[in-house]
Amino acid sequence: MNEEIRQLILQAQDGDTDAFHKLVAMHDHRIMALAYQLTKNKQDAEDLYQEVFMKAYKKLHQFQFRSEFYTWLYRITVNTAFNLKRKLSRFPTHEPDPAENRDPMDWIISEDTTDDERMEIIKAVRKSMEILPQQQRTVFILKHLQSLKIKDIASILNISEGTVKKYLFRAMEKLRMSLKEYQYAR
Amino acid sequence: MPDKISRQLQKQASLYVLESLTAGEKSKFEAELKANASLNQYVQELRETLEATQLLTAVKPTEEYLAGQRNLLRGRIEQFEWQRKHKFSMESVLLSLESLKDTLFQSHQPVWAVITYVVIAFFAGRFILGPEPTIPDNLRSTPQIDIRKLISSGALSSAEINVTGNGHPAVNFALETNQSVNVSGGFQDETIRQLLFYLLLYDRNPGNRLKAVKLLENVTPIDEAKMVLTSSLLSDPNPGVRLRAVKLLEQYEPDNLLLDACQKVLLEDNNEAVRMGALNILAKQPTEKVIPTLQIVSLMDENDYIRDQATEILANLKDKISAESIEVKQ
Repeated sequence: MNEEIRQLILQAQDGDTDAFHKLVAMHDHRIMALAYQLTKNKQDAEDLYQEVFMKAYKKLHQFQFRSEFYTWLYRITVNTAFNLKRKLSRFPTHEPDPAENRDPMDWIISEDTTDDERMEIIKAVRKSMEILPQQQRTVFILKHLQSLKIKDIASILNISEGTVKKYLFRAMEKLRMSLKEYQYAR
Repeated sequence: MPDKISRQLQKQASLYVLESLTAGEKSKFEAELKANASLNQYVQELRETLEATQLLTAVKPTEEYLAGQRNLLRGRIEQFEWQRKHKFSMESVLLSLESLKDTLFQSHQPVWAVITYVVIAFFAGRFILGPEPTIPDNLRSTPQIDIRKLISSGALSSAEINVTGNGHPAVNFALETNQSVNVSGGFQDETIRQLLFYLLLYDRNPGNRLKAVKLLENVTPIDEAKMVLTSSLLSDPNPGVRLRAVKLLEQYEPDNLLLDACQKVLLEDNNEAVRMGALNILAKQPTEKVIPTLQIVSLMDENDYIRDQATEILANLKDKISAESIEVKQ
């Protein structure tokens, strides 16, 4: 673990809230992105972000440096997202219009596609992602969009590396099939 | 085409495009890839799939956007810390009041604020532990009334309040005891005040509580009235009663108890007018202590006007604090 992060954690565990806020600023880009990817909705992502860091603040004294700090935060994020989904059942079944969510989140946009084309692809991909079971979808997001290692994903989700690979393969296969159908339909 | 590929190769292809094969697995897979056109096409489709999903979900929150979220988090953490400290200090008080609380009268109100216990216990203690109140000679009563017994028996719960007199207000209570009892007197009479306090805190009928709080407008501001009104503001289920109570409290100097109560109301009361009243009280003498609450309200209150007001108070308070700190440095 990075020494600076280690020191900040120790200070925060001693009650230094400024140290905690520094830790937040070092990690929250990825947590917010993950929150958005898991919830697919800006409002829910913001709620999840707040919930994750409040939990981290309350439970920081339990962190024992057995894992990287960011994997600990990821674990809280994923578990909180699952719980929120179970509890509220209000994550949208229909995806919101992507245009509504472009600001203040910046989409990474391929410049060689027109707006209409991009929107069509986005809708198709969203539909495809929607059909994935929660665990497969989460594994896919953590691997492909958050670039985590298989080992870390296994630790975050508390499953074996073999299971992570199995979920990845199934997710990839479903998405490939689904997007292929979309291409044929065009 | 992928049908011609074994499931094992398909699985490896997925891990290959996701860069999750070990070095050995990767070189072996690449050798297979060179010799197998179907596998090549399959890998190409997987790459396109990844590209498409990247287009959808790769988001980069802006620094400005995250700064807003961090501020909100900062406010929530400050509030959490404040509540934690407050809870610890109140817990010791509560422990000693626990037995007293059990002897308190059956209340219709959900006592959800710990602070209310303290206020009610203090007030009720006057009846339970203090000297027995007597009816002043100028009060007409039939027959001789033992106020303490009436209150502990809950007989006052069916009181009827009427205001009579021309230019000389008086309050009549019709009390349901073994026999009908009437008490009347002016607003400055101690017994009348105590009965109004009691009705405001304990009467089951919201109409009676509303009447009681309205009548308290005529009572000269005293500390005891402030405590009772604070308790009512925190615990009465009726927004009309809470609103009257908060309006009356605006005429008092805000002490720590009132400031704490107003912060709780601002954060938890679902009635906008009541929250606005609480904000007006906080605005009278804002201190550093109320900053976390104001920060949360300025960001999260549902009402635009309350948010704007909180922001303004916060800005003035920060200016005042920085001016004071400059004075200290000089």
